[in-house]
Amino acid sequence: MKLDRGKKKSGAQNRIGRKIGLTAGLLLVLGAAASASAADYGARFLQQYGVKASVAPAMTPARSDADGLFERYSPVESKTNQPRNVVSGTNPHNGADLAMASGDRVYAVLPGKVTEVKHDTSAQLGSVIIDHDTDGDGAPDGVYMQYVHIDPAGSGASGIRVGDYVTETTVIGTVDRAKRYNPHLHIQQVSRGRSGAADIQTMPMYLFYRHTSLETWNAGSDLDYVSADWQDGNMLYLTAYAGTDNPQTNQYDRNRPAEIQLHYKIGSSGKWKMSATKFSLYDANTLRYRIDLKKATGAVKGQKVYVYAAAIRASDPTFPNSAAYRHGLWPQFYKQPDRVLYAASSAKADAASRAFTIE
Amino acid sequence: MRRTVKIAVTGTLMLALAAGVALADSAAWTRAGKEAGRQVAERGLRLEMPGRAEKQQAASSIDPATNRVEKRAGTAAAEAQTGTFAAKLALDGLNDTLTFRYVKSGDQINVLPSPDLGYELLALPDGRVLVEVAASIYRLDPEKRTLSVFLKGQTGTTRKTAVSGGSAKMAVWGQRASLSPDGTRLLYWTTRNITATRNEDGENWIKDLRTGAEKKIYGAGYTVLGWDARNRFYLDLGDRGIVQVDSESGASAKLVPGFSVSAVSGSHLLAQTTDGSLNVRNLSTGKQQAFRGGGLNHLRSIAASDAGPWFALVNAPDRSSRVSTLILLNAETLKSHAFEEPAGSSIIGVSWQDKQTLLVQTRNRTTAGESTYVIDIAKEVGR
Repeated sequence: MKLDRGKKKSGAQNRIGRKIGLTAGLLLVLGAAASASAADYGARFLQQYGVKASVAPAMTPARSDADGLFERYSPVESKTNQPRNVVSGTNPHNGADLAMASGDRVYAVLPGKVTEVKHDTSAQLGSVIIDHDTDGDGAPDGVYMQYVHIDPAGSGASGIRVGDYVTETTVIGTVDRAKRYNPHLHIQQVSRGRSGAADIQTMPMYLFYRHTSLETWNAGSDLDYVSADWQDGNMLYLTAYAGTDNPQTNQYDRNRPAEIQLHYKIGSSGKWKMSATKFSLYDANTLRYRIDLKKATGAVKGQKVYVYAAAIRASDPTFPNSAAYRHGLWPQFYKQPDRVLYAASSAKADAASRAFTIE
Repeated sequence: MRRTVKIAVTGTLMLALAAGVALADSAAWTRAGKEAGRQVAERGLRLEMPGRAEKQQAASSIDPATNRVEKRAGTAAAEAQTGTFAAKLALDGLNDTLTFRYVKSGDQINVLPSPDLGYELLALPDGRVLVEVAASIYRLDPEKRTLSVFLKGQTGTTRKTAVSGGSAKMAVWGQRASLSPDGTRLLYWTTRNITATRNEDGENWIKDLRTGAEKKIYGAGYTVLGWDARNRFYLDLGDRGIVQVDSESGASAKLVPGFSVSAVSGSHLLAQTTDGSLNVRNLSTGKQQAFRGGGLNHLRSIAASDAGPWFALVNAPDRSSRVSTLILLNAETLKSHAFEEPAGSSIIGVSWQDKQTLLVQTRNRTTAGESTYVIDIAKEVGR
């Protein structure tokens, strides 16, 4: 399998791609994994493809014992790329929120080297970025994870600092007290080791937690609004649902989308439109959806179709009275003006889409 | 030439001494028992935890069409047959069936911690088990395979709450349960008073297991480091230090002012706030000592046994390097023993099976294979 990260790959990204590809290739059967590139059109999100791929089997950042060896699967309050009805805050959500207690210890999910520490009392509070060692050889692999809304572990000479090597039983900080938000850990995979990097992008998280069960994080899909794309012939599969804290029922919900639309064009010079056919629910337990691209687009064998999907959120029980922002897209991206990317021009849709050849 | 070699050797030795490496013993790993995978101990039971290999197997077992994981990365007993049973949770408006793993020891059913099944467990002295699920704590009777209400006021209606003047908020009725050493008190964390306090940081509560009475004992909830023999518990407040709280009176004292790498056994608190030094506090007398030397630099983690004086320190001679050393420290005598990592491997974590037996989880840097070394402390420190 080859993971192509798009048009603007840096040297570091190339190394990451090779490393991930090699690791995944060695560890997993990748015959079913897709290989494609994420379009970079100035967005802040970067798509990673492939249902079988696993970046690395990470531990959870929360643990239930003082030695840090028992994993705790915190409920997910909001997922990466999830649309939210918040007026302030990022839409779609720029990372995954894990329900944790104020003061809970936060552990590195894999070993690695600290690249950024922010002791910040602003709205985002403190944060740490770690360049993780994904293959266990003791060297960081350019796979970055950012841990946000935390008090980084200590300050000054004894506190955590850039350059520190940490293991997965090292406490890197504690969940900050409720200042602006309810206490929680915001965690995201990012493409750079510095949060101020101009080209930093957020990537899907589910590839770290493919091993998780339906009772915990649903093969990692609890962490990403749309995840686990897979193509089988003309059939495209996606997992899509919102994860949220529901104060009406006092439970953490997995909410099915109201619908998942397919937007497409046939051939590079075709005209963008929305298919009348929607993705259909294929597995209710895992919230797996699929669509027949041939039937949905009317394309014939050998034709190339360009597609993107829009998963329309049904409701937001956490923020029921705020602005209606309801769509999360696959391939994922950030701060899009509308789910119809081709309203004014086809450029964004062209750049965002993924191409398939009809069989 | 000879002088050059001598200088080089001396220099290397000095560097090694400075890093603490020369003090470290590498032969301990050949004397220790070695088990495949990641093992930890819980109530004396050795458990196989899902490690890298098990998680990779689970990931590769996914049916790409359904996205179902066919092979679970779960916990198993290391030295006994693991069984499962199901129990219905039809309380508080819930209607779930929970699966539990267990091993049988004589007539005793020991339910195994199984985070992958979606809940946390805590064993009670009477053989029953507390289950943390759906933002509350329920009691499991493993013999009858039934779940019942455990905390007072635990109903579906009272758990729903709202913050006046704001949007509705979820409440945690009980989580993060911890049992006192004498088995009479249970500490847990809750946000049940969120409506009154308008604060989501939560509170620590105590339930008297003899009378059933419950009361708030301390403020915001933080990591419980452990308990001492006088039923006092210790909370790690992160940058706000470590506090000691009397579980009867609620009297508290701050023992460490700021962030530390720390651990509590029944008798001692260890806390590192400065590289190269470690504060050792006797919890009975309050006497403090500083441990230095022995290769100690920057601690990545500390593991305490429940009752023993020995602590296991994962030490970074150079905090920017992946290399760790393992230091065994007797908190009473400050006698220490340092061990290099097993050749070609990195230490992942350490935990105690009992006050005599230390489990060290490692990962081979070439194969990524994980192993657990079983170290008999008496044999090692007696050498």
